[in-house]
Parts: sequence; structure tokens; C-alpha cells
Amino acid sequence: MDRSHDRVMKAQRSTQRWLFALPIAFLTTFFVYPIVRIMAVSFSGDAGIVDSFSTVIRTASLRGTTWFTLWQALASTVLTLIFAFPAAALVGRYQFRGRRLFMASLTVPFVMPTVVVGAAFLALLGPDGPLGVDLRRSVTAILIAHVFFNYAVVVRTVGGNWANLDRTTEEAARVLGAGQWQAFRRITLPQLMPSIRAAASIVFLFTFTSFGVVLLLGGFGINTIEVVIFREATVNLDLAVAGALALIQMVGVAGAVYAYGRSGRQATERSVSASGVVLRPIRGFPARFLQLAALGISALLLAVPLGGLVVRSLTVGGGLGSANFSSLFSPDRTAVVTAPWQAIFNSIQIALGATVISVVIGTLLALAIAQRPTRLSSTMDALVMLPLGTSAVTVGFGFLVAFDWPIDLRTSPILVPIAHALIAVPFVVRTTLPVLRAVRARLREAATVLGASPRRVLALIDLPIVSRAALVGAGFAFAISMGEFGATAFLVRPDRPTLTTAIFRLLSKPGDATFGQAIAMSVILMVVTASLVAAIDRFRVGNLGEF
Amino acid sequence: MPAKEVISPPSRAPPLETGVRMRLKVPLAMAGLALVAAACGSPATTEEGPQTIRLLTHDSFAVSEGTLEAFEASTGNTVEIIRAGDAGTMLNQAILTKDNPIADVIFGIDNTFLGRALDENIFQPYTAEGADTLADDLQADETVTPVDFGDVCLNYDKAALGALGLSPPESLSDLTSPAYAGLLVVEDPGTSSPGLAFLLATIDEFGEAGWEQYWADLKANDVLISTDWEAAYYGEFSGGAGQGDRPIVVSYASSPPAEVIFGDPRPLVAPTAVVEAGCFRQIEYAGIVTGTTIPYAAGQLIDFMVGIEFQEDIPLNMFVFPANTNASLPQEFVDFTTIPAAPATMTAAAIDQGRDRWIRAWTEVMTG
Amino acid sequence: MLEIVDLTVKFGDYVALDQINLELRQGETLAVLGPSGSGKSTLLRAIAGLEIPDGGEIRWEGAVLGTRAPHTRGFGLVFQDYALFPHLDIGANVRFGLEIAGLEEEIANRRVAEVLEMVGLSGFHDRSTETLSGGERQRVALARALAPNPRLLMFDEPVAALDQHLRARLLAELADILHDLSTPAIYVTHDQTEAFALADRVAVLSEGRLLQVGEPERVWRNPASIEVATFLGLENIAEVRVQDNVISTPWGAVKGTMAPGTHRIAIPAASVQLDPNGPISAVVVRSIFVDGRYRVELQALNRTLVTEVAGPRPLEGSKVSVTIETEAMVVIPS
Repeated sequence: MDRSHDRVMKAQRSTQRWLFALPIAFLTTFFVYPIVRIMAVSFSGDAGIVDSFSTVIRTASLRGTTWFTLWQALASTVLTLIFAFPAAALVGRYQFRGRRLFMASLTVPFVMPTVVVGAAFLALLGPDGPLGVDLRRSVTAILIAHVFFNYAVVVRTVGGNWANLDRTTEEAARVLGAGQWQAFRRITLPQLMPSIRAAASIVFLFTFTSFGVVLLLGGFGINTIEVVIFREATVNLDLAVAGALALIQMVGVAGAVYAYGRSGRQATERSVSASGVVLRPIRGFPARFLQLAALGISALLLAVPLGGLVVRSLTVGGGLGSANFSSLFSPDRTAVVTAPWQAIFNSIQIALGATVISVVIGTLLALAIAQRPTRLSSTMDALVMLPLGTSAVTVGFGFLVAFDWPIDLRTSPILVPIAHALIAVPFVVRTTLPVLRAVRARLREAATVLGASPRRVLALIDLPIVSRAALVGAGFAFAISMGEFGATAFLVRPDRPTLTTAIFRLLSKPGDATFGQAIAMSVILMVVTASLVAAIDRFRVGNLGEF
Repeated sequence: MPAKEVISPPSRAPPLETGVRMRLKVPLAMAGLALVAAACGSPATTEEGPQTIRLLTHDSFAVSEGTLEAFEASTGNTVEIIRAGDAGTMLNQAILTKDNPIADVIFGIDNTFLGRALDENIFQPYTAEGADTLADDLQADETVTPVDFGDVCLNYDKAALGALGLSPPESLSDLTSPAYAGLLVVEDPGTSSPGLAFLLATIDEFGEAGWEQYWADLKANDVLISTDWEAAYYGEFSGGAGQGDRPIVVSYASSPPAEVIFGDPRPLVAPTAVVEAGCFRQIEYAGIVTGTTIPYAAGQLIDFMVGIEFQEDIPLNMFVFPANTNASLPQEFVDFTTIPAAPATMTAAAIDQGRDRWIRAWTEVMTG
Repeated sequence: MLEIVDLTVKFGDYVALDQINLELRQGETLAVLGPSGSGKSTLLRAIAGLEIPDGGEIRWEGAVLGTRAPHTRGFGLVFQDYALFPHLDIGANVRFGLEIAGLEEEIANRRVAEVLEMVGLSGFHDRSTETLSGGERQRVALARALAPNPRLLMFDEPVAALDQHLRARLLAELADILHDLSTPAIYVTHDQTEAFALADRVAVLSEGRLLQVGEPERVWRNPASIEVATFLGLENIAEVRVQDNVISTPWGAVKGTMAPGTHRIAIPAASVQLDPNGPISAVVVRSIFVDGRYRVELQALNRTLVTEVAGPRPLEGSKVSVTIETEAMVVIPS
């Protein structure tokens, strides 16, 4: 059947290979190769791979951990989808005052250091908190925090997709007698499925490998595989068992990614609105109700804990004041952070580096995957998700054993943005691919007939359209890098203070002042990230809507 | 620039790891290195001239501005700090790279990890100039030099205990009495370094035969376990900067002075205090990495780290105590804490032997 | 200029185009007329190079195009859904092909202005495609195709989505433009009025086969088959017997000259007239007001006969007499 684009496809074949070259080189060098090397080293000791696996399988607590890891990730994914859906619908369908700000502020949770958020949640979920129930050290607390961290993933991915849907299909359904709900369920929802699947897979991978949240909020005895890997690798110093667990984790992740890939295949063709502006003003009861629900959930889930942090950062000795900030920027002899400006600057620099790398690699990958369906493109589609689900210890140690030759990169500053980019690339791919697939074949044909070679079609049609979509991914990439600490902690890196390491250092010195300064630093991180994400969002114009 | 001395690779490198490297890298490079090494002969102990010294350390390492610069100015060397996460992560990184080290000096491996480090032969012998000024009981091995120590001790919230009409516990055993039920928060030794230290203190106190029963009693007395120090101190402890409701926490002997120094507003006396019994002393070591090409400069750095200037800079930056007995302490450290006279100690080898087993047994007791 | 020889395109087992033979001369506009699914879009796409033929050849000025890549063919194609580039403004859309060709900016800009004027969109240069109406989009698509001076222009149902009034106006303008340009053009449509309005010749396509090619009037007068006749909108198709200048139709016998024997014929509705002295009696079944006239369905000898009258409105159920202009009868070969 696929003879239809034979001509174009022949040219596409070479274009696709050419596009894949750099991403494959990147992922092989900075992901596959280090993992293979560290695994080889891990299993080369006295306890070989077989012993380590049998240890893992025999130990009951590790089996329990595996099961818990899986179910909490599934539960977190479903809950995030449910809670974030109203907001996704709101930004996907309606234009309202403050919409852009709303979108940008959603990314804030993403960058907040787990320790800080943990503190905020502990205050809220404690017996004296507004909920009035003691949810500390419970699975419920973990799930709530997971929804908090991943809320933006769903809202931005699904909402962005929604804004691009051809509204006429839903209208057609309404005219054919479908009620609002029916039209949504039978027409809109199926069209949203690719983005829902994309968001769900990312949330699943994130929560499957959850570390800080589980450590902080779960309390003793509640572990994910990631926590156990950390424990084996850095406390028990047993790399073989850590390696075995990391392999189990990767197999689980690969399985999820594979399942996702299979389920998503039939839903690649989507209609994109051709009729321009599709966002409507909020009018009527259902729209108002939706707005109320979306903003209400967002406020409760995001604004309350974050607002609490802002209030805490402005609290000095019982009253309000800016001393936490001013003392941060006028270091004295007992100052823990001596160069806050430098830390802010370094963080932004690393984040920009990670953003550039992940946007370039991610866009090339998306372009290549979208060219035509091949075994290679579906493999790459899945492979790119794996870093999200790979334990940070494994990657960090892998870098260390892999990059001493031909150039010694082990202590190079570029490994930090590269490690961040590995986590961010899937976001770029997942946000650009649906848009790219929606660039109608007609547009490419029109350009071709006008004389554009396949490569020029790519450069003049696909790329400009996709670059806007890539900006969503860029916003994520930037935010991820700004707040990342887990993976960074396992990298050997030059001594350059960043916002997150400064917060870590402040928190390691007990005292009201250091705690206040740590919160103030977190608020700075929050503000810097939100403004830069908002700035990135501003570039998004054109009739591909919010994407 | 003078020719660099090349040290021959360590003879005790595990054969398998070398094997992997040999397969994955160009064997010629290794052959070439061996030739150069053979030609150069024995390790150098003479001056190499100004060098860049790579110092691998953990995330908690901190030093005042100007301190390292003074070292650089006096020796002409440059210090490049490389961060590596926490102490355990750093040790593993040092082990993974021992055939081709990423650093010349490592600082921050403590006695709970030292046994493994010595086993893996990642340090080469060195006696620091001024080693005689360091407290004798901190010395461990000819390869490493003690730089600082910190006692992991029970801290308590003075006001909260007072309100309960309780006096501070005087021994570990007190904590199992009903009066202290539900008051203590500790860290999981499987994920937290003070948690491990406290476990070692209880093992030291009650012996192999009795420690598990002690923990079972603590559990019966409603001990709370946090996964790391931040969660325990900020989340559960009621004293000082803590936001929780437990008045006794496993923390450091330096925490009360920190509460004063970083108090907001700065209090006249510390709101928390240390229980002198049941402390475990963590000792941090520095060592010259086996295989460094600049052992002389590396030695200079270690000499500097045990010298008065660096030693007196330690307390306010890392909140641990200097190993140098001549170093004077900041006033807050004199006023608001006690250095326990007889903290629990254990040889590095004993800790290395038992750690894994103890943590698993502890986990068994506390979850069972 | 363009020669299509035995062109066959298959999609799997489905034969989209079956041994098509066509020729296009300099300056000629050819309308390809066919119902949906007839393969007419595939024909355009094959000529453009967007489909690879499974058999036969497409030649341009004698040279076989074969598998030559579409972007090297120098043809222009206007899509039914316009396919305007959403990320470019109108000027940039029109300039696209010129930029690809590497034209100097100044020349390109002049050309863009020229074609925008040609399609009546002067001053739309900087506007976004989103702000346009359907007709304006169509004009932009046309301007974009015209701008690089293609060797061949192709239109795939370009006005199908527009309202009738706009369609008529655009067709007239398009006819003028095509006339002035002397660029050969292929115009694909399912609407015979569009085809007849524009085309120098019409090709009728059905189920991938070319049924007939010829000048509009000739095709109209001499449809090659009943399929063609039906598709051209010829009505009152019937079998007649002719003997001694009497034509026996299913509606009754009329006088007229025709070769003796049995024929299949069609009678254009306009050639059936109400006439009180007419030889055929009928009953009015339905009257519909269309384009200022009444289209009337009659029943004569239990067969439907369609006619058109200016007025007054024939009342349903009334009895009428009818004559047939036998010289207007179209004979369809069987």
C-alpha cells in the first residue's frame, strides 16, 4: 500500500539516515556506551552477573521493592492524568487572561529541589497542616508529590496538542447529534490519545525511577528500585547488586516504552486545524466550571505549597522581611554560599547548554523518526526514552569509566549539561513528534512541486514548523536542568556552585538562617526558571497554536 | 616545564577490571604507558615544580575564600577541586578510576568507608609534615592522614524536654525507657551516613550479642526512622531549625553551635544540646592517590590541609573539628558543644567487615 | 509538450490509473473530468512526480520524465485544500518557489507583487494565512503556483470548496489568466461546467480509465459511452428505433431524420419543449426552480422525461403535450 510516496520515500531514506547520524552518535556515546562499560565493570568482580541476579531474586524485600516501584508509578501516572486533565482542557480550548503566565508557572514544580518541596509538603501534610490529617511518611504523600512534580508534563503536552486539534471534527460530531461529552469521548479524546500517551509514558518513567521524593516523603521501609540502587552503590558499595538492579530497572522501563510504542503506532495521523485561531473565550457554564476546576486544582496542588515557600522565604524571626535574601547576597564570615550571583549564572549557563544540546538532538531525532516508519525509527523512538528510566548512579558511574579515552572527559564541565540533556531529549522528541506528524503531507508535496528538494523541504517546511514545537521541549529542558540534582550528584564535576548545590549546602548546616536562605535560594530558582520559561514560550507564534 | 614523572601502575590492580580495559581500549596505549613507566623507574619524591593538583572531594567540602589561594601562592601550585557527590559515591568513583586516576588527592573518605578504600589500594603511603600535631587516636594507616573529625551524637531540644519535665538522656539505654517513648528520630543507616554512625555507636555499646535487642527495644519505644539527615533534622526534630515534633535526633556535635551561628535572630545560647553518651566519631582522611604523576605537590597539599591555617578554617566551613591539636576553635564551638571524651570508635577494617551485614540485620529488625 | 503513454499506477492490487494515453499541446488547457475515485488526482500526482508509475511513460517535450524527482520538474500544482504554509505569511508563501529557484531578492519581490496583483491580492503581502477567507486562500495558492513560471500548471479541484458565486468569478479570472499565459494547464474537476468553462479539451476519466478526450462541444455532442453521457449530465437517455423517419422513443414516436435501426440516445433537457401541438402527451410530476428556469419532470408512457421551461410554472398533475428537437438528440455508441 505504501507505494504512494515511493518517489519521495527514496530520497527520504537517505535524508533519514543523515538526520539520524548525530542523535545516534550522541546516544551511543553518552548513554549506551557508558552503561555497557559500567555494567561490564560491575559484573567483573567476584560476584558475577548470575550471582548478583540470584541475590536480587532471592531477597524478598527486593521483590517487594520491584512491585512497589511498579504500582506506585502506575498509580502516580493515572492520578497525574486525572488531576491535570482539567487544566489541559482549559489551556487547550480557551483563551483567558493570564493564560501564558499560567502555562509558564506550571513548570515551576519541575525545578524545585526535592528537599525544598519535601519540606513544603511535610508542613502541609503534617497534623497541623490545612488538611488536618497526618500524611507524612505515607505512600499517599509520595503520590501527591508525584502529581505535583508531573502536573506540568500533562498540562503542557496534552493542552498543547488540544490547542492544535481541528475543532471542526468535534463540531461535526455535535451537529450529528453527539452531546458535549459524547463528542469529547468519541472524537476529541481519540485525537488527543497520542499526546496523552506521550505524557503518560514520561510521567511513568519519571515516577518509576523516583528517588528524592520517595526518600523524603515515603519514610523508612518504602523504597523504589532507584533508592535501592543508590544504597547498594554508595553505602554497601556493592556494584554487582546495584548493576543487577539497574538492569532490572532498565528492562522494566524498556518494556513500558515498547508497550507505549506499540499502542501509539496506529494513532500517528492527526488533523491539525487549518482554520487558524481555535482558542475561544471562556463563556457559558461548562467553560466557567472547567476554569474553576482547573484553577482550583492547580492552586491547591501547586500554589499552596509554592506559596508557602515564598511566605517562608520572607519570614524572618517571626515577622516578614527580606533578610533571607539580603543576607544571601551580602555574605559574611559565616556565609555558606559566598557567590550567589555566580551560582545563578552557572545554573543558567549549564541549563542553556543542556537546552541547546537537547533541542538539537531531540529535533533531529523527531525529524528523522517522522520521515517514515522504519525499524530504525521505532527503535530510536523507544531508545530515546530509556535515559529517563535509567538510574542516575548508573549513568554517573558509567561516564566515569567510559570517558577516559581518547580524551579524558571524566572531570569535564560538559558532562553535566550532557547528562541533563539525556533526560531532556525525550521531552523534546515527545513534544515535537506529534506536531511533525501533523504537518500534512500536502505541505511537503506543495513545497516539492515548487521545486524544493527533500532536504530543502526539511529545512523550509518541517524545520520551521517543528522548531516552534521544539520550544515547548526547550522550556522543559531548561527547567529540568535548572532543578536537576539527583543525576548531577553522581557525576564527578568541576567545582562550580549552582543554585541546587548552594541549596544543598545551605541545608546541610542546621540553623534558621541557613534554612531561610535555602528557601530564599529556592524561590530565586523558581523565579529565574519561570521567567526564562515564559520568555521561551513567547517565541511560540503562528497557527500551530500553543505548540 | 619539567618532564613529568610517571608512576608505574599499581601491582594489585584486580585482573578482571584491567582485562575489561584492555579489551575496550587500544592496547598500544597501555603498552606505551608501561614502557614509559619502566624507563622512569621508582616513584619520585622530589620537587616537580608548580603543578595543578586535582582534589577529589564530596559535596560537603567547603573552605573559606583565600585559604586555598594562600596555598597556591606559597607553593605555586594550583588546586582544582572536583566534586563527586557524597562520600560513598566519591569512594566508588575513586575505585572505578584507580587505573587512570581523575585526581591526585582525595579528601573526605571517613572511617566508615576507609577499610574499603584501603582494601582497594587507592592511596599511596605518605606521612604528612606536621603529622605529629594530629591527635593520635585519629591515625589509621600509613597511607591516609586524618584531617578532621566529627562526632555523631544525639541532640535534644532543650525547651521541649524541659516542657515535658524530662532530663536529657544520659545513656543509650535511657532511650528505651517509657519516659522517652516517641521522642527519638534517627536516620536509616542504609541511606544516611550519621545513621550508620549511630548504628555503629550502638554496636560498640551493646556488642554483637546485644545491639539487635537494643534496636528492637527502641522500635518498641516508637523510634522514628528518617531516610536522611535533612529529613530527620528539618522534618521531624523539634529543636532549633527543625519543624517537626520529636525532641531528640541523631545529628552532630557541631549542630548546636551551628544553631547559634545560623540562628535567626542569633540566640544567646544554643536551643539544642548534645548528649555526650552514645556518640560515634567520624574521622575524615586525605590521601595521595595511587598513580598520581605529582606525588610531591600532592603531599604539599596534604601538608597544608593539616596545617594551622586550613585546620582553623575547618569548623565554620564544614562544621567538624580539626584534627590538629594546636588549632584553636571558634568561640561558638567552645561555648555550645562538648567534644565527647570517649566516643565510640571502631577500626576501619572492622567497620568494612561488618557494615553490610549490620545494615541488613538492622533493616530486618526494624521492618520485621 | 506533455505526452502520457500507457500510464498505469497501482496501489497494491487497486489499479488507480489504467493505461492512460493523453497529450497536451502548447498553451492548451485540458480539463480532466471524472467522479471522485476516478483517478484524476492520481493522474496529476503522477505527472507532478508525487506518484511513481507502474507502467507506461510520461514525456515532456519528448524526454521521458521517468523517476525524475518532483522538485526538478518545474511544474506547478494547486491543491484542493490549498496547502498554504502556515508558518509563512502570504508574501513568503508566494515567494517560496522563487527562493528555491535562487532568484535575486529584488526580482523575486517584483514577481511576488506581480502575481499577487494578477490574482487580485495586492497589498496582502504581509498578512498571515490565518486571516484569509477561502477564496483568498485559493488565490494565494494560485499565485504561489504561478510565481515561478511553471512549464505546466496543474489544478486539483481548486474551487471545489468555494461557494458558487465565488467559484464562477474565480473560474472566469482563471480562464483569463490561463489565456494570457499560454502555459499549458491541466485542470482536474468533477464538475462539467467548470471543465467546459475553462478547457480547450476535456478528458473524461472513470475508474482509472480514460473514456473520451476531445473538445468540449464534441464530447458533449458525441459522448463515447453511456458513462460519459451520464457524467456530462446528459439526460433522457433511452433506446430508440428508427424506421422511415419516425423515431420510436419510450415516450412516444416523433418525426425526425436518423439512420434506420436501433440507437441509444440522450436528449438534452433544453431540447424537450412544451408544445400544445406536440406529439407526446405527458403528466407533470415535479417542477423545480433552478437558475431562473423550471426544471420539469414529466411522466410519459410511464417513463420519466426531463425538460426545462422558462415559465410559467407547470403545475404538478397537469397534463401537457411535448415536442422533442430530434436534431439535438445525441447518439451514444453502444
